[in-house]
Amino acid sequence: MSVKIGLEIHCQLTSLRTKLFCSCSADYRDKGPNTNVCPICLGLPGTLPLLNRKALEYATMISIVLNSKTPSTAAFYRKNYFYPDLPKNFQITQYNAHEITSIGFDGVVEYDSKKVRIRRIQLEEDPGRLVYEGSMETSLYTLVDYNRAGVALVEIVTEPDFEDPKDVRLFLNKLVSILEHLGVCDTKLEGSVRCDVNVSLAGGRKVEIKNIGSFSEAEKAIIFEMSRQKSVGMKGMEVKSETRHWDDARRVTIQSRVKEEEQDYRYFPEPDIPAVNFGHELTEILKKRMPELPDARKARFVEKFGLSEQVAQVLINDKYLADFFEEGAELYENAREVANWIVTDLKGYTDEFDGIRSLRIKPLHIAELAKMVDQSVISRTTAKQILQEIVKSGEMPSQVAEKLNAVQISDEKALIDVIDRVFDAEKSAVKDALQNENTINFLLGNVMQSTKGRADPKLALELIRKKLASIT
Amino acid sequence: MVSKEEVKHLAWLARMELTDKELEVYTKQVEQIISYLNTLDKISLQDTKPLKTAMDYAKFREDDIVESKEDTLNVVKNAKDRFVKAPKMV
Amino acid sequence: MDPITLGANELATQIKNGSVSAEGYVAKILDRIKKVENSIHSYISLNDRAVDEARRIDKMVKNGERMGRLAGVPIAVKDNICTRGLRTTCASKMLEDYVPPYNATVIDRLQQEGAIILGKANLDEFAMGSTTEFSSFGPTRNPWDVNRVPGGSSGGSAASLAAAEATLALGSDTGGSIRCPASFCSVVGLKPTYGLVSRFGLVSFANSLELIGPMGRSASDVALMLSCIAGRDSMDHTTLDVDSMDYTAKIKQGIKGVKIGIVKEMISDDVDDVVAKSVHEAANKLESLDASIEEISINSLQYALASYYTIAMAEVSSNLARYDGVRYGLHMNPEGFAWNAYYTKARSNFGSEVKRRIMIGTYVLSSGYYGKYYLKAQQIRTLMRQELAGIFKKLDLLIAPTMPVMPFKIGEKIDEPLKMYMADIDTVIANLTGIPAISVPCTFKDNLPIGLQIMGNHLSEELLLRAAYAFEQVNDVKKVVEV
Repeated sequence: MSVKIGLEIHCQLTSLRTKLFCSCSADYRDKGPNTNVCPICLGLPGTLPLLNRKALEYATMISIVLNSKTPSTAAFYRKNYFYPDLPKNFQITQYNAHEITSIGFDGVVEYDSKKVRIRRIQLEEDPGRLVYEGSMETSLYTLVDYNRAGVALVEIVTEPDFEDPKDVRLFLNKLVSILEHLGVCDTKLEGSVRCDVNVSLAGGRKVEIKNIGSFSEAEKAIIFEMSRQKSVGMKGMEVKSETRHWDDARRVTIQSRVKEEEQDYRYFPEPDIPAVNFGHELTEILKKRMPELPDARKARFVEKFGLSEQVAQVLINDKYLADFFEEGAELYENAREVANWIVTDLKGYTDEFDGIRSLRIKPLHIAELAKMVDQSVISRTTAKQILQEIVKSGEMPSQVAEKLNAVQISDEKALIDVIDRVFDAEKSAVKDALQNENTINFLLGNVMQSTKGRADPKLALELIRKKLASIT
Repeated sequence: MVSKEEVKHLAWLARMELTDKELEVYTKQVEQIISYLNTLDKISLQDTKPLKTAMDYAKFREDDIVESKEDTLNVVKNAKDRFVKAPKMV
Repeated sequence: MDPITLGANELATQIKNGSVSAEGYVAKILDRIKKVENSIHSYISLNDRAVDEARRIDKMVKNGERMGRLAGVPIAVKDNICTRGLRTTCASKMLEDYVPPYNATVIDRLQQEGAIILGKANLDEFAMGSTTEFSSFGPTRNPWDVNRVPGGSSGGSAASLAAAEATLALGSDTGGSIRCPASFCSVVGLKPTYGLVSRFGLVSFANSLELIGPMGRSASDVALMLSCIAGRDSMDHTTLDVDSMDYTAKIKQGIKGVKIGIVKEMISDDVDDVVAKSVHEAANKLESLDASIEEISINSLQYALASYYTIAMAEVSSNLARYDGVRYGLHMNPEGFAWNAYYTKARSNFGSEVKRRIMIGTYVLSSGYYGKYYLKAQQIRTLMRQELAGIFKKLDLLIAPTMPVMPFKIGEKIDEPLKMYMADIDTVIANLTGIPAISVPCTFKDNLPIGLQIMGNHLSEELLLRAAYAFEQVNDVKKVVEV
């Protein structure tokens, strides 16, 4: 059955120092309730919104990167509705019904050899947060914290071009990487990127789903909604065009209490903020200042460092991982090895949310580890053991190797001693080995055992063969 | 013609409670006034732009933190542990 | 002349040179207020630190410190302008005991110049009205006839001047709210060019139409006050990128050669005969000052009122949404209330005029009506601006009555809102187009004042004040009641 999926993504501009319309700090997390507010963001009588010009720059950068058109004049509108998390009972946002006023429109993003069109990109303010004492049902009132009210959000709305929930995931991963590389949003912060979806099955009516907490929830919500719409259709009924709520605990979408469709937002231009004249210079200035973006970085990884496409892709999906790799590659020139250690082994230890920043390990650690293995100072197996340790302790691999006495024996003299002892102890095996290849492995095994795995196996094998040759 | 139902809906959209008497009086007055505002229909202005001031993007506010001089929460009377108490969402 | 009716310019000079004590003067005015407030009711709140502030001024004078231009001058501030630590009610139950934690920019600027805030002046609730009868604290009465309205919405500010309860006053003008009471109370009131004076701290009614303006008993007093408050403000994006200037410097230069137009539509049949006659007489006086007069027609005026009320009501319906009792103002315990029930109950405390305007504003912004009303009204503003731009190429100033009628009796029009709105017919064009306009006392008829309105092109305040001053010199009219 054909399906059309569209996304509405809200991204906080966490890299701004201040909120969108006042000079309060944009860093509201972990602060005491209502300690990060001022007369403007609390909407006190007589206050006026003061637009943050850096927010305009960041939002325009996002538009450019998503290949969207930017208007020469942008304007803000009021969206009027009553809710306790809105200090003014209207939200200052952007609106394109009468004329194009939003920061970006008509864009397109390529991902995984597919395309999705971007309908619009707009700036708006985040509301405050509602909190309940006990549960929502039993509480006699709501508690509101306005610390977040007024933080700058960029809303990105796509056309319903997605045809598979997996594609949504791939696109979101790419978007996150883009936002990280642009430096406008720290996507690992809780609530910094939120996503609503809309789903319409087989040309039927569109259903919007809100209250989605994470990207993996988005995928689940889409899959559930597709099957719900399918069964509605099978019962011979028509799918209603409505807004539904994702309930992650029960893994279902439910009818919303607030009927979005009945809301009359009475949009009109915000009289306190003049229309913003951009002129040509801003886009040109920003294009020049644009940092290296994921696609370009991936190409550079493949060309400069000789990484495979797949490995490069894994790295750039997470900017911190990519940064980690580049630093490591600067410290040790076998970039492919450094990359492999990161994507194969190190990644397994990272937290889904904090990523590599949750570990005590630094690029220097990986560089040293890779070098030690390349130089046969330790075996690969030993290296993996050491990695497990240093991820927690943050010690250097060489320190741990010393402690474990794990340094590989590549000293010929030492090895010869061990081999001599083994030959003495296994005289019959030695005789056998002169005829039988396989028995050589047995002898090698003994050497490895008696050195507790520290012998350099390549060198040991070489020396064993030499000794055997000298016997005959 | 503006009906009582419409005025009731307007009061709802604006979250204002009206008594039956008020609804009667306001309906008459709102109708009268809207009638007058309909004189705007007398002129058609397809090619005229609506009045809107504009400003160069560089003249808007710089992204510098300014600490609020006082504890703004002091104006709130309905506070509990520094949260603002609001009616419950039902 | 009784000392308590001194003009601001002289008072400031006399305080600065030590011949008048600021503390003594403030005390005299406070006495006056005590005496007449029962019959006039200009004020909602008085500043109990006024005497202390005046005392400090006297000390500074004694120490030979540098004094501000308004040092010791007592002013009334319309109660929709935020004053830190001093109750600001907007004459509404919704803000009955609200105390702002910050000053409006104009207040900071006035205090920097040493002005003393006597108290907060009465107004129509949230500045919506033309008579000050819609105040939740009771109406202000016209000092010239206490059975009549003082005009509105800045009725308290105008009455305080006419009754010698203040030397200067601040008002706000959205559709005539400074000029109308100035006309009805025989004082001078200026609505500056939109964007010349900061709106930061002015509780919003209709943001794209209104601003704060100076009021006084003479053109030079108003010019002095304007000099202290005008100029760009980083706290208000809608202020113009201009500095203030000394608006008193060239005020006595006269109006020789100035080309003045009488607005035909504003002295038509709909206007009281006596009002039209007084404008003609004023025109003659201006001619005697070597200005030239001709009749001019403003065709787009026919749409002015409808355009004004559409925009004003639309904007106010959104601006007043924040008053829901949750964060400040009216106190209602939310426990047990469902959210919508709480909001509707709290907001039923608005007065009737406010409710009316909110509903109409909601109507015109409703889904589907945007093009018919709000957008059309904004287009008409562009049309009017274009028409005026053409007129100001040939003429320097326009004159007209401020009000089409004489001050009427309290209670006379209160049950007919549309009739009340019609009184704004002469004043709204200045708000719709942003041009400056001043009302100066013109004459008295049956002991009731009639005001003359003078309008100019954007940022022509200097010329406006020059004309107002020149007119004053040949048109001596009472500006304050017998004390």
